[in-house]
Amino acid sequence: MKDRHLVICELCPKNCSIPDGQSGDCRVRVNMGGKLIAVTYGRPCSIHIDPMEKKPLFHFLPSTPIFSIATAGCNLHCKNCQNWQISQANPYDIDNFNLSPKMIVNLAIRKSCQSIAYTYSEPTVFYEYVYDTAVYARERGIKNVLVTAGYINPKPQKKICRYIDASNTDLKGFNEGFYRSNCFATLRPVLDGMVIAREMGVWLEITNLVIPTLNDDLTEVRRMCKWIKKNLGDYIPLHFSRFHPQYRLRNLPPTPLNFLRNARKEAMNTGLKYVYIGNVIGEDGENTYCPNDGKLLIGRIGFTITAYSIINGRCKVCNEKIEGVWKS
Amino acid sequence: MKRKTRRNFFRNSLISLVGIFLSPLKRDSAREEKGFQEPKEADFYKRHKLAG
Repeated sequence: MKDRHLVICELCPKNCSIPDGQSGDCRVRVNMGGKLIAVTYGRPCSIHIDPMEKKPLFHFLPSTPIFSIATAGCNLHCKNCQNWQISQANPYDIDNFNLSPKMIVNLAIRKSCQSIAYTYSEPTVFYEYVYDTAVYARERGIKNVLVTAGYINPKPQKKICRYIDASNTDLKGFNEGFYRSNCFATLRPVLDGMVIAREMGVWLEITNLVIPTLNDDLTEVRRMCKWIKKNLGDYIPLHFSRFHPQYRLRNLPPTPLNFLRNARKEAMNTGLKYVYIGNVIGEDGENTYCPNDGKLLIGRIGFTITAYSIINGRCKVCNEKIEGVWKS
Repeated sequence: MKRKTRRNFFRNSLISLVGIFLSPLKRDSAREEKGFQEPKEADFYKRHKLAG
């Protein structure tokens, strides 16, 4: 009788047991005769050149273009997903390019991009492709950026973090119940992952999408900010992002601007130095201010930089050190 | 069938057959040129043999 093999994927905390011929929860890691195959390796479905501010990364090479790629699949299934057409798709159902890691890096160089983002869907599930591309990019002097939900096991994360320069981690909320019911994941591994990333020298920024009635609780915001300050540092930029009705949450309204402003105020009262409001154009919360003298350091309208007063990583006026990775 | 028609028929069949056998080779070399990636074996998993 032919052997039947289960494989147990150890990439993310879901640790899927996958029977022969089937895929894990992410749809893109398939058991083929007892071998786990990453079927989206070399098959990006989205390739764009974006401004760095779109990731959002506000303290990492501001206003530079970043070569951004994604493949199909995600290990989370957020009801509010903005890119559900690719993240929740079967990789065989959408159009993909065929591009080796070397071709991605060469394309980024040809397009004058200093960095590559693994973004749009979830880079965790195209781990091998990210890793090979990141290793080659590092050799060629290109920086690597993860835009991720951070739902990954410690061992693979530590391996890849050696080649990652910056990460925007989506901290979707600060309670387990919300993570389970809205994202089909858990909170603890995300928090542990952010601590690992910071310890390994990855420049970290955090995005928190505020969804009305689901995670718009100022007490929870306060607890989250205190945790960030205590475990990661007060200099970690935090972006409160506005929700727009999407995917399975079209019944909810956009986040009221007042809540975002109050959340920002609350976060700054907790002691976080750089707190932003995202997905809103023309807000004061888009700008970076000096934590020492309160002067405008970087003015932004959407993805456009309107003012820039940082020299050698310091405030032009008071010489206060501004944490981040700045253009030399 | 006239002799000339028959000869053309056999010649065309032969060309088609050769083409069919050669096309995978052609496709493979085109894949190499364009950097085609075969799916890759994943890192971080373990096998678990089922009983029975």
